[in-house]
Amino acid sequence: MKIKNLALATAALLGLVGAPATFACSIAAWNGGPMGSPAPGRPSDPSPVARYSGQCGLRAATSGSFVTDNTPTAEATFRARFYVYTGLTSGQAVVYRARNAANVDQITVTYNQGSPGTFSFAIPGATAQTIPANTNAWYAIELNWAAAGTLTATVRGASGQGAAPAESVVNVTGGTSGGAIDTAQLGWVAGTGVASARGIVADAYESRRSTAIGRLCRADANGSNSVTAGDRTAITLELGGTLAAGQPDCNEDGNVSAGDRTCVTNLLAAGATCN
Amino acid sequence: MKTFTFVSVAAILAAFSVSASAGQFEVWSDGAKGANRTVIVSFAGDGHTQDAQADIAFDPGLEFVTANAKVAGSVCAELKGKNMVRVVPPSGAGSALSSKQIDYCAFSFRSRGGKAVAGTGLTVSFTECAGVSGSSNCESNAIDVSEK
Repeated sequence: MKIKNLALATAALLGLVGAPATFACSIAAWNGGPMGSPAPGRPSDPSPVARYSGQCGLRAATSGSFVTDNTPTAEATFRARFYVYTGLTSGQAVVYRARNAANVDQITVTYNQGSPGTFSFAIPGATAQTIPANTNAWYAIELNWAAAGTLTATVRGASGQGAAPAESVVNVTGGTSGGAIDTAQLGWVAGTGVASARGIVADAYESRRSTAIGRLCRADANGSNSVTAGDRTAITLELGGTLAAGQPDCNEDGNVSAGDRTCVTNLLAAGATCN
Repeated sequence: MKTFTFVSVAAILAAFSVSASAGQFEVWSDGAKGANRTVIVSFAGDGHTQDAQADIAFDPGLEFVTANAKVAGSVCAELKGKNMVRVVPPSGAGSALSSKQIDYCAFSFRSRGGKAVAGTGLTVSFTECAGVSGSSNCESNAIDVSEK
């Protein structure tokens, strides 16, 4: 069962074609509201905000800037998928946190800037596990948590100009059992660090109780759920100012450019499908 | 451009029926006898198409041998394990692809077992012509590779 689908922003889904600049990116669907100063926006805004999918992303330039979803209710199993751009020059950012009704952390996902940096995945009572991650790149993170005290995290991103790298998976086990999830927070939730030009950016959040979510179709710029030559045209149009409806940042570097068109060409030559 | 003496009847007809509504892929065979075939895929734009693609299925009786781009930047590739080849002209990158019929890819096949090629060998299974106004199917025509 799906709990929440909070593409950043839901409002973006209402006007993908034909009216690219006539609506504001919204975080209204986050029923716990914002904390700090998270900034929803588009790449074409005066203060550009990167996005992974659709037209809007959520930028956090300072720690303590995030949005909250209070939809979960004492969930004993919980899955969440989101995309995060690792825009730090130093320090760390808690990019995702899920808590119980007493505001005790049940899941914590932290990006630690470095060369390479890491994502750290923590649950109460267990040793946190890490996965290497580059700075200034998009990553898809899917979490599968259970109240028995386990968390599986699946990460993939920073794909570059060709086929995507293999996904990384870590299992955090032996945690304290009996937890529950009542709230989820996304953005730059906590941690001390210095943002890069784009900052921490989050997009395409979705949560469910038990069903796997999966990644969006990388390089599907026109939103057709396939990778074809037409995606190159959608990227070309975005270079001219018309934002693509799908996932145009093929190389996942946070910037839609001619290099993404080349990336699509490389995928077409390799016979790649959605990956 | 059209360097082959023998082309399919269908291809000839198609050359005179290029519509203004969509770009058109054409698939040409050298019509050679025996076990080997060279197949050329060309494309003519419609004044709007900036990116185009054709995936062409070949008969399991054929074995893919080589793919060569006749225009730099073209994707001419076998889709391994699918009995298909893919043709993607270079992106117009904001400009319409040429309306002239241009040969983009040359593929060579041979008959499995070394027998003479017979029967229909190629089918265009997917096309896309994309421009500012969106994407649609391209026009296309395949050939019977046993034809001259």
